[in-house]
This record gives sequence, C-alpha cells and structure tokens, in this order.
Amino acid sequence: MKNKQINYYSVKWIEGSLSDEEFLLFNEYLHSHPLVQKDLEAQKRIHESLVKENQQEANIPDSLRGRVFQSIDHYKYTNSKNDNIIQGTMKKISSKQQWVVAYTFILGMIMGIVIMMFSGNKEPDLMNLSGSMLKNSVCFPSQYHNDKAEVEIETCYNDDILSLTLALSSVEEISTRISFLSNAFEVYAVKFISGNEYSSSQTGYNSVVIDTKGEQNVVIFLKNKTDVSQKIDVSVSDKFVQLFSDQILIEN
Amino acid sequence: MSDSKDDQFLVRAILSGDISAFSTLYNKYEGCIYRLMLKMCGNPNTAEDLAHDAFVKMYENLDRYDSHYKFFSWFYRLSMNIAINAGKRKREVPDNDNYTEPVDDSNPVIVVEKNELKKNMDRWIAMLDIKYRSVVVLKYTQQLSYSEMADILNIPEKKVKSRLYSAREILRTYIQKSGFYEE
Repeated sequence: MKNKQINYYSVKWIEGSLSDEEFLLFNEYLHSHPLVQKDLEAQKRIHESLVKENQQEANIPDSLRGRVFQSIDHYKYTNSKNDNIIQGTMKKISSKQQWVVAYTFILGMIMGIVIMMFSGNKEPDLMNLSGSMLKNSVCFPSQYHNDKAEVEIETCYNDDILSLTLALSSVEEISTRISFLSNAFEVYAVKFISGNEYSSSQTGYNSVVIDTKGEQNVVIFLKNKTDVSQKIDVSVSDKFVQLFSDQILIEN
Repeated sequence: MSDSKDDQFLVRAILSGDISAFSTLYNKYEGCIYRLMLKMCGNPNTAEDLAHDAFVKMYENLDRYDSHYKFFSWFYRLSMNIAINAGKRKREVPDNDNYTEPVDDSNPVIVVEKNELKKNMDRWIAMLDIKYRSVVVLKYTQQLSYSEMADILNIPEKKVKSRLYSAREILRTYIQKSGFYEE
C-alpha cells in the first residue's frame, strides 16, 4: 500500500467512514502492521472522546444578544436604503414636472439676488478689506518667536467682524490653528495676502487651520455672533511638536 | 452546515436596511459562534466577549462580503481570526476542580474513566497550541468538513488533516500524563 493511500485510509478508518471494500483492504494492511494499528486505535479513541464530549450544548449567556445589538450601528445600512428610496422617488417625477421645479428654482434665485442687491445690509467688501480698515475697531498685536518660527498676529474687531492678520515666518512647514466657540464666532473668510506653494487653509465650524512654510501673510475674518467677551485659542505646531499656544481675549 | 442561499438572502436584506434580517442571521449563528469561542478560549466570560466582537465585526464588514464565497466560511474565518488573535495575547486554561494530578508511571494500569476524561478534555484542548486547537475546535465543535476547515483557515486540506493528527497525538500524551491509561 502506498503512503498516500495509507494516509487516506487512516483518516477514514479513524472516523469510521470507510466503505466495506475499503475496510476489508485496510484491515488486512493493519493486521500485518501491528504498530500502525495500535497507533491508529489510540487516535480513534481520542477521536471518539472528542466527538462525544463536544455533543454537549453550551449555555449561551443571555446578555450576549443584548450586547451585540447595542454595539452595532443600526443606521449603517438604513441610510443607503433611504438613498435608494429618494432616487426611486425622483425617477417617478415626470419630465413636465421637472421643468416646473427647475423654472421655480431659477426664478427664486433671481428674486433673491435682486433683493440682496437692494437691501440695506451689505457684506464687507473683501477685496479692499484688511484688519486695520475695519470701522470703529479695536486692534492689538500678539507676537511669538523661537528659532523655528515667528508669528505675529494683529487682532482687530468691532461689533460685527473680527479679523486676525497673521504674519508667518518659518523654516519648515508649520500649522497654525485658530479655535473658538461656534456660538461666539463663525468663519467668514480666509484671505492669503501673500503665499506660496505651501499655502493652504481648512475651515471648520469652530476652527481655522493655516498650513504654511516660509514668509506668508494671511487674514482670517470671523463674524461676531455674540456680545459677550470670548477667547480665541491660537496654537502653532510643526510636524512634531507644538511651538506656541496662547489665548486672545476679545472683550465685548 | 448552513444553507448558503438563505444566508446570502439575509445579507442582501441587511444591506438594504432590514435590521430584522440581522436578527434572523444572529439567531442562526449565535450558538455555533459562542461554542466556537468557548472551545477556543476556555472561559465563558471571554467567549462571550469574543462572540460579541465576532458578530459586531461581521455586521460592520457586511458591505465587504463577497457573495461568490459561502457566507458561513467568511464569517467563520472572521471569527477564527478574532479567536486566534485573542489566543496569541492570552491563553486561558479552564478551571477544572476535578483535574487529576499525574500519577506515578509504576502504578497499575487504570481503566479509562470516560466521565473523568470528558471533564479534562476542555482543559487539554485549551492547552494545545493555537494552530492545533483551531482544527480540533472546528472539527469537533462545529462538525465541519476538511474542505470547509481548509477554506476557513486558509491552509491546504492536507495540512488540516496532519494538524488534526498531531493534535490528537498531543492530547493522547496529556491523557497518559494525567494518569489515564487505556486497557
């Protein structure tokens, strides 16, 4: 008998799954190889013990189900279902109805623009605006220096607008974060007065992050949403560490 | 072991937002996954944690399941990876008040007490190396075929058989060292 056959028959013999013909053939082999037979018989006993022992049912803890259902995000796949429903609904609108919706929307936009043009409240002209040109504003400087970066900030504010004019100078890339309470300020605009290929900004509902390298000048405009005194956090970091951290107090 | 088409139908329903389909799938696999984890780790509390992790991970990754493959193979593979990784960090040997200390080899041959053997078997399985434990648990707890085990463990079928053979040999030495002799 070849080794491959012996291995094949051995596994089946242990598990009791040999056909009658295979059983007779293999039994003949085992009788002439008593050591192999003894070894397989021992294996068979272990196999049978394992089969019997694992027939017992384990008590599943009652808490498992609750834990699982509490942990899963029930809405993970329901949002995609809603998207499908929305898409399906849109398909049902007839082409005539779609044109009505489109014309109404365009008309509304035109009316909105007209109203804005003739309304009394004008937004600041950004092209000509810099911090010191804010009317009736309070201004004060802040400076931070070390061997890695120099940061000068001119803060100006009036009842409506706050501007932070940043003069940044660094050898390596730095990241300047301006953070504030979202109920106190809202980002209005970020304007690079002078920049280079390393200039970039990201705005959030309660922060502005300016990434720069070398000499750069940036103005950040925030809308004042409250008349209560507020603090603005400023932090400057390079790739590895925070270089400066400070608070600017806005007294209203 | 499981109806693959039923599983895939449930998976599609879950991905369409039907949370009750997940409940059905959970009910189907709760017992076998918990038993799998219990045999792999040897501790009911740890088994519950691992089973929880397996179901949550399955749900979270359902959108990555490839329906060309059997669902239960994919789920079992995911579960086994969790169990194996947990086993690498910590191996628990189940408490067994009835564990018998090894006896002197010169003692007379003792007839195997099948009940005592059963009590100690969990302990001995937990003492196996993770690669042997995996095949023993999948074979005897889950009653999987060699091809299914090979698919889940991502090893050739031949290797599954040889590991199982080796695992039984190791268990045999544990039994002999524990003073159980066969008549």
